[in-house]
Amino acid sequence: MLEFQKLTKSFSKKFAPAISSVEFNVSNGETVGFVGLNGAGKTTTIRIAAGVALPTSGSVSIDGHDIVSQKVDASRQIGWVPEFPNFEQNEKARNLMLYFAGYYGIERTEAENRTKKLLESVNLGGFEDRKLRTYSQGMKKRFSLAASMLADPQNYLFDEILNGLDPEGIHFMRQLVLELRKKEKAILLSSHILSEVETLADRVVFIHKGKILKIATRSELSGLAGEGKILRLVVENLSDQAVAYLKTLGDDVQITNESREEWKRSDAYEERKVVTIRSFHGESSEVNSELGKKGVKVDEISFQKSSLEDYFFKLVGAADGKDLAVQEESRK
Amino acid sequence: MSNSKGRFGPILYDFRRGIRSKLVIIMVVLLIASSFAVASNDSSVNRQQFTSSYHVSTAVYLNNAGYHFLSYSSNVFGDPIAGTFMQFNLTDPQNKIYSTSGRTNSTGYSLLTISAPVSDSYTLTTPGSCIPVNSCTQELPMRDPTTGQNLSLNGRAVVSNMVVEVADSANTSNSLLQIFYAGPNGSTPDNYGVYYKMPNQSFSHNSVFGAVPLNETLNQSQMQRIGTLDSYHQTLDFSIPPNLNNSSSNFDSVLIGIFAKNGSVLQEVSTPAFMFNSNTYIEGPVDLATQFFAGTFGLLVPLMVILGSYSSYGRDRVSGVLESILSKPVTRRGLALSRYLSTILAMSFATLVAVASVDLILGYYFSGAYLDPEFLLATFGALFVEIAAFAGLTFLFAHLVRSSGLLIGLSIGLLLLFEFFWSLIAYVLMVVANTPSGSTAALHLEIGSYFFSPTEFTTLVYTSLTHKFLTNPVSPASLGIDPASLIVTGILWVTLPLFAYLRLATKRD
Repeated sequence: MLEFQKLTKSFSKKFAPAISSVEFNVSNGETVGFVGLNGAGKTTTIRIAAGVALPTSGSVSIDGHDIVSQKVDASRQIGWVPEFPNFEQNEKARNLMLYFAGYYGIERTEAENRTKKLLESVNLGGFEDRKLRTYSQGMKKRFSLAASMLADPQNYLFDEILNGLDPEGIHFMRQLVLELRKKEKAILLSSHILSEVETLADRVVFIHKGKILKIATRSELSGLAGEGKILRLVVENLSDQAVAYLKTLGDDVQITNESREEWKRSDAYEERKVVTIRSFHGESSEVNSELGKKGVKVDEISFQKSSLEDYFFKLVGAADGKDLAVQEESRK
Repeated sequence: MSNSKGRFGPILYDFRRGIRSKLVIIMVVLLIASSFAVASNDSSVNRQQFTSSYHVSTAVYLNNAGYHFLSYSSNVFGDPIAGTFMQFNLTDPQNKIYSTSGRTNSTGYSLLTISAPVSDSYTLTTPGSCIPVNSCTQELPMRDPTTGQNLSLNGRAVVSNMVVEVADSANTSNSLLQIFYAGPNGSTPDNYGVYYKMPNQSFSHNSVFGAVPLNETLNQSQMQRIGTLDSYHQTLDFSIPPNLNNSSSNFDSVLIGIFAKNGSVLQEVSTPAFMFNSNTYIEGPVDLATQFFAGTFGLLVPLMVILGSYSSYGRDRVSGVLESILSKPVTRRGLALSRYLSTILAMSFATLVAVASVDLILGYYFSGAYLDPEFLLATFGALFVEIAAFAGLTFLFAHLVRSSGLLIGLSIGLLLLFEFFWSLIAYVLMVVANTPSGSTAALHLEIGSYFFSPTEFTTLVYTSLTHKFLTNPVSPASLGIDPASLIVTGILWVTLPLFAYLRLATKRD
């Protein structure tokens, strides 16, 4: 279990903290997505949790062990895969794994067995005796993954592990995260590929400018679809009266022409319109009936789910708006 | 699953990595190669200073068959040297030369003869005691050692290098006396007595073991017995009289005489009292070694340490590779110490190999005259201080700069400052302090500045050991160089950079 408590990191007194009072946790068997723009503080938070950076204040607890004051016990239970793995370039993969195993006190024969098995599991079998400088970025990431699993830790920190991977690599990582979750591991996964986060995460922590904006659970994420429901209609004979009615059903009503090729040859092509209503509130069946009464023919009616990305930008926009308002206020 | 052996794995790995680093291997090879170069480069060796380290003693006697030269060639331990090339020239006033040559046999002896007309005006040139043998010669007076008369047909021998100081091979800091003498017509000495007399204050000279006629007739009954000579050469343990002032500054002479069984004196020599200082090291190898270790090693060892420290820590720290290790179950202090210790262990091992090689090379060069263990220990201790200091400084700089080039440049720049510009700084201080060059105050200032440079620590240690600062005889204690000051300085040079480095390594990202 990973517990972040009021974690703050300042690199300079001249600038705002890179992260400020970051507080959340990752339970065993849970995958938490960590989402934010570049420079939001994701990597800083993860590096502190990995024990490679020191917090200015606050703490990170790994299975109850503080990462600073109980570093050895804490690090024993954590596997870290950074965005850009950086290893001794002139060393062979096998030797480096054995070296790392020494820090866990793993006996030599056992370390050799694990090394072989792990490197094979990340598709690096046959590359054990090659120096890491000959590895591609994807191979280094796989090696980093194998190294992080050397002592079978309870907790994992995956920092942008999907970046720079080909589709096969992304699939591999996705399956791995799912497998680890099955094994009741606690996983913190930061990624720019929000659709993957959406697929894999039980919860998502949104961070912006070093501060946590929101922590959403899976059920809350599902709710986002309702909250941000988009109704899509394909209609014919849309009148002004009908448009006025539709505008009462949501925040943003957009009307466009039918653009699908197969309809271009149809007689009704000119009359067909596509209507999208964002933040729809109402019942689709009622809309169908009401439009019928107003002489509008409804050809299609469906819901579009709002994406995590939409939600994320909405949150960020709101936060920035609030910041601007605060700045404006302080200027006054 | 886990054991203590596994826990030591990282340190062993780092040690192996340090020792197998290409940079370190190149530097060790360079160190060893440079020792070959110094030993084999004639021009770099001032051979005259090794006169007492390599000995050829010769007894010359005249009979009807001609002039005979019985010689014994030995190394600094008094052991025989076979195959030494010997050449003797008799030159008459008209520069006509009568010559003979040959080599010593397996027991170190040679007997050569020149059939030349008997004359009292020859000049004899014999092999000197130089390195290698025969690289220099010496001229001997062809005179009876007791009467001062010219060598005559009575067969009485005149001996060059009758008494030489050799080292005790069991304890090279202990001096022994090697006595060489031949009886009439080259006969084996027949229980001749060897005696010494305490320094006569009225008789003082500045030559070493000179076979000079004395102004004083020796009387066996007024002398102390050292031992008996019943072969051509004999090594005698000369117990230093407790009241003998054998300090390095005492040139008063101890008189040594050889007496026949009937008590008549056969030959006498005088030797300065300081030669009986038990702490006098074998001069030749030590002089060469001090120059070499303080000079060549003083530059190359820190350079090796800087490159080794960069390779084992600095590069990883600057490039971020160290983070991949820091994420493992190890504390910042543990990783910092592990890397530091494995680096200085690897560097010390490499230096030890290089020092041992130098000792072997010098030993071969000086025919078995290996360096004194105490001297070697002091050398290694001094070099260890340099190793630890420069490792600590390079590790420290790795936390202050963010580029490999800057790290290397800063470390090597500091080495060059300490090695080449420190004396200049001392000189500037002298000028500023209006201290006349060559004065005692200037010497104090210069030596004082050496305490603030790790590359000069070896020089301080050697000054303490040899009582010489560079080539000048000094009293180390009067200059503040004593065991206590050296230990404190050494500890400070080892610990200060280390503690500063540990502080940054544990408290800063």
